[in-house]
Amino acid sequence: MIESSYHEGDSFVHAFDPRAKLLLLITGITTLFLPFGVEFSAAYTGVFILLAIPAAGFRHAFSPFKLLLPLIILIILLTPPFFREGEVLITYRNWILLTEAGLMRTIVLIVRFTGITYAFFLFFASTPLNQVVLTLRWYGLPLNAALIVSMSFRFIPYITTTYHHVSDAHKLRGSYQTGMWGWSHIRGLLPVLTSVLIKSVKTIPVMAMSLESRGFGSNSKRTSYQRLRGGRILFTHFIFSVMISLIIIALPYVVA
Amino acid sequence: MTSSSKNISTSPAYRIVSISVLTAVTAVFTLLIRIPIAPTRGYINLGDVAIFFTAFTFGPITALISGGLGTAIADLLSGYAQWAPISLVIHGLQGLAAGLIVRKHIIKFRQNADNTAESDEHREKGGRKILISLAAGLVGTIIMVGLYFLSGAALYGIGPAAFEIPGNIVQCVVGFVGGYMLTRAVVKAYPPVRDLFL
Repeated sequence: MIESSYHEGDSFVHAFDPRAKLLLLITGITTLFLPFGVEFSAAYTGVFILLAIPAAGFRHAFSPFKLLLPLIILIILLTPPFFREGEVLITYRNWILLTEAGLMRTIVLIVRFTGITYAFFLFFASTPLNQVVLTLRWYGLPLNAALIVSMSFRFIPYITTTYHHVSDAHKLRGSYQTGMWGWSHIRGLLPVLTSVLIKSVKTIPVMAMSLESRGFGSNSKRTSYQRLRGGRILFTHFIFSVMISLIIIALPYVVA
Repeated sequence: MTSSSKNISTSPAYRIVSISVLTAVTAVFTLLIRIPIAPTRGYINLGDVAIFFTAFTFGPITALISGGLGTAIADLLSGYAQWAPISLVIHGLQGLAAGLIVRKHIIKFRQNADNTAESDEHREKGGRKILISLAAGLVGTIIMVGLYFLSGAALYGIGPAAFEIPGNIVQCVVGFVGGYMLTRAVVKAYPPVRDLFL
């Protein structure tokens, strides 16, 4: 459940240092909002999609489109009415359905949102979650915040299992409906969620004491089970990501 | 139990664990429990239920962090990573606002419970409590729906962003009602939780 976004692999994107990748992710997304013209946004989005193929495999590389499709349909249906300027392209009786400005805006929004989606997909498909946390730590995320993130991931399977156990117990007693959702199903959900919450809340004092017993709050130096690689590789990857960032920002000006 | 809970609840370790557990609860409620809406074939997730529960039970700071982080983690795990930074901010602010509104009332209520013998009667007089909770729900809903509309408009245009408003309102109202009912049920079934408000 908690590893669903990461795809194991040995692609170029996987090998790239996550700290440099995060820098590129931020630059890439920022570029999609800069007024460079739709052709550049489309080109950058195309690069993200092409990189997703080796990073996630051909089968998974297009899975974000499945999630994007309802929103793309909404953009196509609901954006043109807000933009009436320019040459009229489609009319129905006396109704203007699509103008040149409406078409351009629709394309810009689809390309931008697809680009953002693929930039994030690429980052999380090629970076394990533990490396994401270490990257954020490297960028200055405090220890306590990193601890909260790590512990939350530790608790998700526990609470999921608790929810299944409690709902199974309620189903056996006949107080919780299965199958189609209805009022009785929703009403039966309240005792299940109450039990899950109480069981979760009850673990807090015990876990807090256990954390203190392990040295939380002491001033002694922290150790780290996992570390990100440093040295020459990090330097090279950072230089590479800064160069790519500069190129994607400068390219539209050079072409213009 | 009361005094020991209060001592525990002020420790940094307690804060870290309570935020972590409630972050996980928010993520699980968002990911796992989805009520289908027949006409639109969409879903209402129960992430907001967990956020309002946290705000009413654990206070604004815990709701700020666990609400934001929990929904962001849920977005990340369900393939909507592009929404994670936005959810982090919006749901965090939603939890913070709801928690801040009920905070004063809960602290006052706790003092009454400590000082007067009629604390049980106080608990039963829920009219004002419901009003304050309603205000918290309303402000939380306005923040969540308004900020999602603004970020949606920036990302994919005003039209599609406006289309999502009714769904977001329904989700937030369900979240508030569910969160309020769960708070009452949990406090009734496990009274020590009353002392965990930070």
